[in-house]
Amino acid sequence: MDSAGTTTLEELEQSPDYDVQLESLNQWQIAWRRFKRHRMALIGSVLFLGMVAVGVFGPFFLPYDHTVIGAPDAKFNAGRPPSPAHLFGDTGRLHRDVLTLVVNGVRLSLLIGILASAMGAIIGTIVGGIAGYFGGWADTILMRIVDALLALPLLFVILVFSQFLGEGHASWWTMTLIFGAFGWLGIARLVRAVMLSLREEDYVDAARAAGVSDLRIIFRHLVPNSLSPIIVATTLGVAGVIIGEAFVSFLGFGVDPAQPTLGNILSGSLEFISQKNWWWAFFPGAAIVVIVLGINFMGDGLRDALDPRAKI
Amino acid sequence: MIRYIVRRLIGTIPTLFVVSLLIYSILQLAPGGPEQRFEQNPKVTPAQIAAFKHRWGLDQPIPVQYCRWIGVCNPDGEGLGVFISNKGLPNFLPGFLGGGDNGVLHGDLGFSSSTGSSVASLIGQRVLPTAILAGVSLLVWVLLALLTGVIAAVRRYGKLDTAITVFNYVGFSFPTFWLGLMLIVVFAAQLRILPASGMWDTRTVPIFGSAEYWAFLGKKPDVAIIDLVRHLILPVVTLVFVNIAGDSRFIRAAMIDSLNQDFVRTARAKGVAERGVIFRHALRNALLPVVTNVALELPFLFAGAIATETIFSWPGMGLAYISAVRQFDYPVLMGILVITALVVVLANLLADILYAIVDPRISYG
Repeated sequence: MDSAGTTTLEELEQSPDYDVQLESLNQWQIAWRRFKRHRMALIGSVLFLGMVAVGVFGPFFLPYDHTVIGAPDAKFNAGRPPSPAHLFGDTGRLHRDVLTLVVNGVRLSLLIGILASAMGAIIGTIVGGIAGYFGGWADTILMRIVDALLALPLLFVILVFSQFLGEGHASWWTMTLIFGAFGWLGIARLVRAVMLSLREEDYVDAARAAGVSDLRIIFRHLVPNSLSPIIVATTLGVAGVIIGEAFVSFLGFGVDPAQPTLGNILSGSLEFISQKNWWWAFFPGAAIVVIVLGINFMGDGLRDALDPRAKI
Repeated sequence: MIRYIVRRLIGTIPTLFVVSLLIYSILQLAPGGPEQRFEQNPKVTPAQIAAFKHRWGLDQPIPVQYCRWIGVCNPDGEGLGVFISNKGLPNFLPGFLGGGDNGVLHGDLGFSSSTGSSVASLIGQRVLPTAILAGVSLLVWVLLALLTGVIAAVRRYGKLDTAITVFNYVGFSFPTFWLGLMLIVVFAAQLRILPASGMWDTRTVPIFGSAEYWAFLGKKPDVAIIDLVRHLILPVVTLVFVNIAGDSRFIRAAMIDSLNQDFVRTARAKGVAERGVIFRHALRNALLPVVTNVALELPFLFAGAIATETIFSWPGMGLAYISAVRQFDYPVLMGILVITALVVVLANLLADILYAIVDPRISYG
């Protein structure tokens, strides 16, 4: 880094000893610099971290608890529109406060999304690593299974498992496990492809000649070198899980309505939509769009920042 | 070329075999089983349940059950004879070649456990609505993706490119089902200009797919088609808006790649008009990867179709699948999964073959 601390990056790049200075930064520092200069990535991070803050701290500032239901009201059976007391209005029939549901839903949906994609990334890295490094029959069998699973629309399979395991009253961690258990396929393919090219590198031969064990070569040398695409795919995977969980729960096959997620709070809204109750469906879905948009922007920025060949 | 196609066709057999194993395992993992519906019934004795299980082969070991389900084993056979059909030839052969008539290989998908009707005929009724919805959506979305992708590539980094990029990102971030809900709010509940659900107007048009419907279509084609189009608009807009982004970005990247090639410079140097350069030279070469990409997107189209069909009560396979999940109707679930997997595997195969045909650089030795 520049000792004066006032030089901009552009000036730094113009300076004659730029390459020398760049060498003193490690891979992650370079990536962070590139990420900071990516406007969409910054907007995405603000959106995403803002929603994370809403999920983490929001529930402490709310006047209502998410389990509160209102008294039946014949005149407003379809729910009351937004008002100062209920900023996002309330739901039809049970009169739950939509703002409270959305804030708590953001919390749980993010938790499910992040944990499930982390789980998928770990399984995918292990499976892809084994298939790509060892090749042969291990590769054939594992990749045939991946091919076969990818031939089924995953949402179909997830719907069935959610119904079998939860019957519409699954806990949030059951849904996390289901999404994690099916979320590794893309990552496994990715890691395998990277492994296939990396295992021919000289440093792998060198390690093998030095008597390093296979497992150590995979997890010490190969996995760290294939981290960039894994990070990008996992980030984008969070968005996929959030949308998928929302859909499964919206249909009533997912998380129990007592634990609000951005999907299950929408589950009764379709029947009141023709009675012009737009706020019930609008706000939870808008929260999903903000989170997913943030993640997609961030993932794109990460892809550019982590790719050593890309020039920004 | 023919050898290549045959080789690829044979190559799909292991994948389809693993798919069938997976689908069968899902069924086996399911709670209860076909005999579960008798459990609450005090009039059914254990002996009757045992007889029921024997009648349907549910007392057999699971590999045998699988073998019969897939159609390689003959349920009437004994010992090693299970692989031989009643006509004395291997059971997996098609019926007219002396094979059996049971199992998935022979088009026998079993009977729905909730309605008792044949799964194949149920799927047969549902295929056309899904095909109409998916087909129209695919057509609109590929055309729009081509248009926006080419414009964005030609006006790279311009205002129009930025606008298309932002539009794509936003569309990509929309949950399909939520977009459907919002479209219903605006166009069906508030403006009341388009129908919120269904495939036909029950007041004016007979049930879709019935003999009366086809007769009506022949008599008043304008009424029937306008009615169908009105019901199609919202679901198609939903599917297109959410799915266009991937292809549009993809076409943009392929076009930028193509526009940087030497042959484009040569064409420009020869004095070809810009329109000709873009469409005749650059786009034709950019189309190659697009063909493959579209075929590979079929699973997403199916998955998107279940969301869309549920929101708009479109009477297709997606809606049938959802109600089968709700009722634990395993035979229907498995039937739909089998058909979907078959379509996806064949689409992937088609993508590869098309690619080999259109790209002369690929050798298919």
